[in-house]
Amino acid sequence: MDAMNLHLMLPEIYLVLLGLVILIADLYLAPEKRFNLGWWTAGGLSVLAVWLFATPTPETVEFAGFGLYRADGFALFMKKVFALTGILVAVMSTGYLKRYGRGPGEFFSLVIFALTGMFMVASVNDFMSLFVSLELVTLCLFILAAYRRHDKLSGEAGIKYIIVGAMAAGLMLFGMAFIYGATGEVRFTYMGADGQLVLLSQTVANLESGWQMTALFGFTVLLVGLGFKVAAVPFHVWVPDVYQGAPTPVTAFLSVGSKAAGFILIIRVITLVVPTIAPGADLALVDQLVKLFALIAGLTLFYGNLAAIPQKNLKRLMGFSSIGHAGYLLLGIVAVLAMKAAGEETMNGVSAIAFYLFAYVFTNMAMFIGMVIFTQGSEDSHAIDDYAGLGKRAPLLALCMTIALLSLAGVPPLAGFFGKFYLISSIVEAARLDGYGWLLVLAAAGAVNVVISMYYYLCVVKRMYMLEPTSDEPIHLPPPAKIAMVACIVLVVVIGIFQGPFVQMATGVLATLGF
Amino acid sequence: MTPCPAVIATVSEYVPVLVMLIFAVSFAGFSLVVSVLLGKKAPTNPVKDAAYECGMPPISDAHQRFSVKFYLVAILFVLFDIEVVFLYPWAVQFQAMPAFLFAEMLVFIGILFLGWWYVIRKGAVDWSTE
Repeated sequence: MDAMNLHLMLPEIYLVLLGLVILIADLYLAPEKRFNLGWWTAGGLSVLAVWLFATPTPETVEFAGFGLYRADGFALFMKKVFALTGILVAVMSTGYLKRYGRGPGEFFSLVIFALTGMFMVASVNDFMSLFVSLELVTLCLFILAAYRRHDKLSGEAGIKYIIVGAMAAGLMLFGMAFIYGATGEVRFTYMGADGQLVLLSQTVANLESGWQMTALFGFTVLLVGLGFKVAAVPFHVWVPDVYQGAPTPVTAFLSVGSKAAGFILIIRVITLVVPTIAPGADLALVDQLVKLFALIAGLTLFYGNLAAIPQKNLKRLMGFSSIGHAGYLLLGIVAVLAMKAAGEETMNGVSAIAFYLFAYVFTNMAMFIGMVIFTQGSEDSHAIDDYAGLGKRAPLLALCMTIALLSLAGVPPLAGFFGKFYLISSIVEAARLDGYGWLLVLAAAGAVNVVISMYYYLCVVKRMYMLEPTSDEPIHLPPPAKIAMVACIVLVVVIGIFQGPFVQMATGVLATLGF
Repeated sequence: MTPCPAVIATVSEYVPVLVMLIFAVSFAGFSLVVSVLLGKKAPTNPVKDAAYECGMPPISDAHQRFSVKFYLVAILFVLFDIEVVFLYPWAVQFQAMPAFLFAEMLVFIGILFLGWWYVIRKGAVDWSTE
């Protein structure tokens, strides 16, 4: 524990170096060659992805940076997800920036630095590293959201994101201060006086009840801060505007990377800091959190999916749909919390979330790559009516986007369906516990929302196939983006049909979670 | 955790602060009095009476446009200034593990140097580009 163990942090060090190389290379390349930096980024991240996928899942937790950093199965899994996200964002940004025609060097290095932050987020073991790494992610995303600075909507997105982000950061620190005040410790796992590893959750469980209330208050405020990051209702207000205004590749990065980072932190806090209640103990702390999260999850599900129905802009619709997906992921969190409240150590909710995020990357990225390909020139508006007749103008594009939309809605043979299936079944499993039968209502809400979301996703599909095209301008599909999109769609189908190995990968993260 | 004895402050430990305060106030008063007594009475004019003899007039409309370059220089100053602050805790702790800390600081200064190089090459401190 008390060692630097730099070798565990090699992926992050590699990312920082890659970011610096891109930044400096931008200074020395001829202006027309600078757009190739996107391929450098994609190549560099592909090497990293291969490296991560070749790394065997660790069987024990190892600590680096004097206990600030943990390397375990869950961190490795999420790093794979982030590396894939980064590659896809780099591929779709290259064509986008070429058309927009502005500064690729800063863009790609900011993407890489944000990814570095996400990698650190996956490995946090301390409130301080939690805060610093999450802020690294959001600081880079603030700039990226406002990257089309001559576009009013993009500026609006940047400003709104920065104000909400700053407030969320403040709330998180406030919560951390309370937890520190109650426990006197900022590390999630630390070496106790007797040389044994101690979890912060054990420390919280051993507190007097007054201090436990302080800790509960801290958890609540901290989780409110994280609720902003994952776009849970009622902390979602920024999402539609930021998603609509930000450049499309950044919206994609936000909707997958930033959301996954928030969920990782919620899972880390819940598994390592929120106490597990011994059976029979009279402690309402975790029970309160279950109720709170069940309420938030239900609201998020219904709000996201119902508010998506009247949308006229596809990016805005994706924003609301992303709120809806946050609601599904929160179902897994509720399941984990309910298990903790009943004193059980099974964490199926976490593996369901991991699987869902893995499937969500490919589904969402395929959709956003399709949207980037669709806009020609430097425009970046996505009125749903513009997509009319896409089936005739570009059959392959329309087909890929249709499959992506169906997977987002959760239609059976596709990846999105099984993601939702595992999340809802984790909630049903939690509903078997004593006193948590009411969780079945939440599971039913999840099922109802699949149907609601089907409606607005299919409205987009209907416009693509049933209406006549408004323009007969041909749509050029650049080969790299086309390959990336088709690869994503193939994976969406493959994950849907052969879930076995992917589910195994997702359940593999459980072994080293709670130490 | 018991607080370490040095932290427990008594009133007598604040005496140097008090001495410092008295010294500061009396030095300022002394300078003013001496300059009035000994200084030459030169004719005044409005510019000479202004709070600052250069830069922006102190009282005017606050809604003015500044060149964005002022902000850039200010931000760069803050950036490098703050990063250099890290040298102090580093220097205090240096004896604990000299070789490791030396290597760490080389990396840190190296990244700082790259940033400086980037700023210069990008022309961020070049005032005469347009």
